[in-house]
Amino acid sequence: MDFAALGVGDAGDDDLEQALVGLASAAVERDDARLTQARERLVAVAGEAVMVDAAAVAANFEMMTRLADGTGARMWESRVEANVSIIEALHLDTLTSKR
Amino acid sequence: MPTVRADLAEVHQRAWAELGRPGPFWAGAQRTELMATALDAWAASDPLAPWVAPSKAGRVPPDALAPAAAHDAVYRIARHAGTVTRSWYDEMVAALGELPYVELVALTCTTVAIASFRRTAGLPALALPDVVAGPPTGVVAPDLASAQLNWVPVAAPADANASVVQAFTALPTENARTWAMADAQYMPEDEMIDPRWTRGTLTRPQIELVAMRVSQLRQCFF
Repeated sequence: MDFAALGVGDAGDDDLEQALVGLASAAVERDDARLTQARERLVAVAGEAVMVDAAAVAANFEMMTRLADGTGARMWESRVEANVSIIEALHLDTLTSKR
Repeated sequence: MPTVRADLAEVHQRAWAELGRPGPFWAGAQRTELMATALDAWAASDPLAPWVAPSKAGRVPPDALAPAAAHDAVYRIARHAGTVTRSWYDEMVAALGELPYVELVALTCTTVAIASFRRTAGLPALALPDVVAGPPTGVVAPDLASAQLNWVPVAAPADANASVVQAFTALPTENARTWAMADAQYMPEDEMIDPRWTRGTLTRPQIELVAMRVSQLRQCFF
């Protein structure tokens, strides 16, 4: 992930970034052993409070993705056009819809 | 067991309990029954395929209090939200009605978010909330409008805010609960404009890293 592309600064050191991505991934997947490992790694790298807040953010997007998909939410066309550079930087244009 | 911020613990406790009370269109006992379906779908190691309705696969008890279509809707949103199509939405609305459907989406969002948080953080799962007897409240926004940015009707005026922000506004209690949770789980709405906002733990870019990873894995194109 190239956060410089978002124009909001660096996401932090690599260990922490990787631990955050690991926890977010394990939160979605159904492998309990992997989740335990990811949780322990993030606590070791950044502490329990960071792990709890990362779990809360992941939960929020388990909520918001269902809200968006369940209600047929879409963006204003102008917003999509304005975000093309971010979409490309994050390679979101290469994803395939489940639909 | 990890310590949870007081504001987050309190909003989750309040939201979970609220699902046991009558909602705008579904009674408390129906809501808790549908929560169980959402939790089963979310956690299933052998989930049904997106196009298979649980009511057709023997996964809804014959004596269920909520209609089969309600369980079908909750199951799909809890487990396969990224596959929801306009034609499926139209089928559900024909069976359930637009606003009862909106309540089901909101109920599923709350249930899965809290269950997901507790599993991810290493906390024990919560028991279903106590049921509060009584009929549905029937409370809806005073003026409703069709939206261009959502399939579901919203509080008028439509499309004045982003689609995710207006999605549940037709049902004020469901909307308030959802956004109180978002404030505690993600960030307060007023702070979203600030790319350097932090609670003192994660930086904003780190918050967005987690958010993007979950959205990417859920294949949510919004």
